[in-house]
Amino acid sequence: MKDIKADSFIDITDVVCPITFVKAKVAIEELEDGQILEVRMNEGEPIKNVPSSFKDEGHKILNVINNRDGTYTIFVKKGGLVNEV
Amino acid sequence: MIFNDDLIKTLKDGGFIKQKQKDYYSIRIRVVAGNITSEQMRKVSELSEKYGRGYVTFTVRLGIEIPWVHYSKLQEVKEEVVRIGLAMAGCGPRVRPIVACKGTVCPYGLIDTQGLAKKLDDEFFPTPGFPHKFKIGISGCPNNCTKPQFNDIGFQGQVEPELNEDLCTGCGLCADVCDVKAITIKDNLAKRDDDKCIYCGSCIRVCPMDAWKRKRSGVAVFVGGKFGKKYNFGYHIADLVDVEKIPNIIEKTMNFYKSNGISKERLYDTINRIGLENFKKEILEDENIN
Repeated sequence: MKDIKADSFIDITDVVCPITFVKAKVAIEELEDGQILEVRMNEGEPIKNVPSSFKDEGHKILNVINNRDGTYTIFVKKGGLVNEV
Repeated sequence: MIFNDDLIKTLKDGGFIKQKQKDYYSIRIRVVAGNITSEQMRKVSELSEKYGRGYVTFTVRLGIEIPWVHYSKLQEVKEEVVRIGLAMAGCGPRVRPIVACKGTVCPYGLIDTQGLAKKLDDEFFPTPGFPHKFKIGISGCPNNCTKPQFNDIGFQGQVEPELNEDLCTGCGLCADVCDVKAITIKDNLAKRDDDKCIYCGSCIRVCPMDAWKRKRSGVAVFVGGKFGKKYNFGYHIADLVDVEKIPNIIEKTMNFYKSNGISKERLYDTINRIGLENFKKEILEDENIN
């Protein structure tokens, strides 16, 4: 789990809902299926909604790290839920 | 034109709100939980131009009002409202328009709030014969946007979470997002304290591993809530009640209110006079609730 290597990284701590997920969605759309996106976001509303929105769209959350500075980093595998089923 | 018998009968049916300006009324149209077709919306707009002053206003209970209708046009407007498939909203001691949030489409919604509102409207609107008004409110989750606790009877969507321990990695995200701190992580496993849990489903939504699952859905039931000059939160009498049981609970509550309430008294006062425990016994008995 600790050695997940991301193919791309996006920081969405500078925006608020609903731009948080829009920005993250645009980033994952640039990847190929199976590639991994690393997303840094704020605690509170973004961490409540962005991971579940990724799940709703068929991507798999591989890991969640609490950075203990008011932010989280998540690793998302594009299409990870669709392709596994 | 004078106030003839026909006009007085029309006025009694409700939905005509006298304005403080002489001879003018605001026409209150019932719209189920705020849902109106675009075609009806266009026609309501036309009515406001034809009979009012070209604008409409929205009520707290998600209805529509056309202000500035002259009293000589009231019967005519009512006929036109009925012709476009809408109804006047009642005032007075009867069931008021049912308020529901957008839980059917809202990501937080745990029950089909719009479908439930439609079903309850079909069954209960605008039942008369109460000591005072009777309000029904529905919110789809504990975020409580539509404030069901301020209705005579209110329902709030809930979900009971269940953990698949094999899938839980103990990442702690559910514990972090839980607003009531009902989840703790021990030995890399999430543990939920049912006494603290408010059944909002945040843990289910957020869990990256889908370890938290929906065990069952239902509603919290609140009774006796009211606003106005003397306001009270409704009593929280049950949790996770099956949605299918709602009509039955409403009916029993209505019967209780009709047979025990005294004129001008809201349900809250009736319950207090008769006793909350007695009320609960009558309403929840035979329902197999908690």
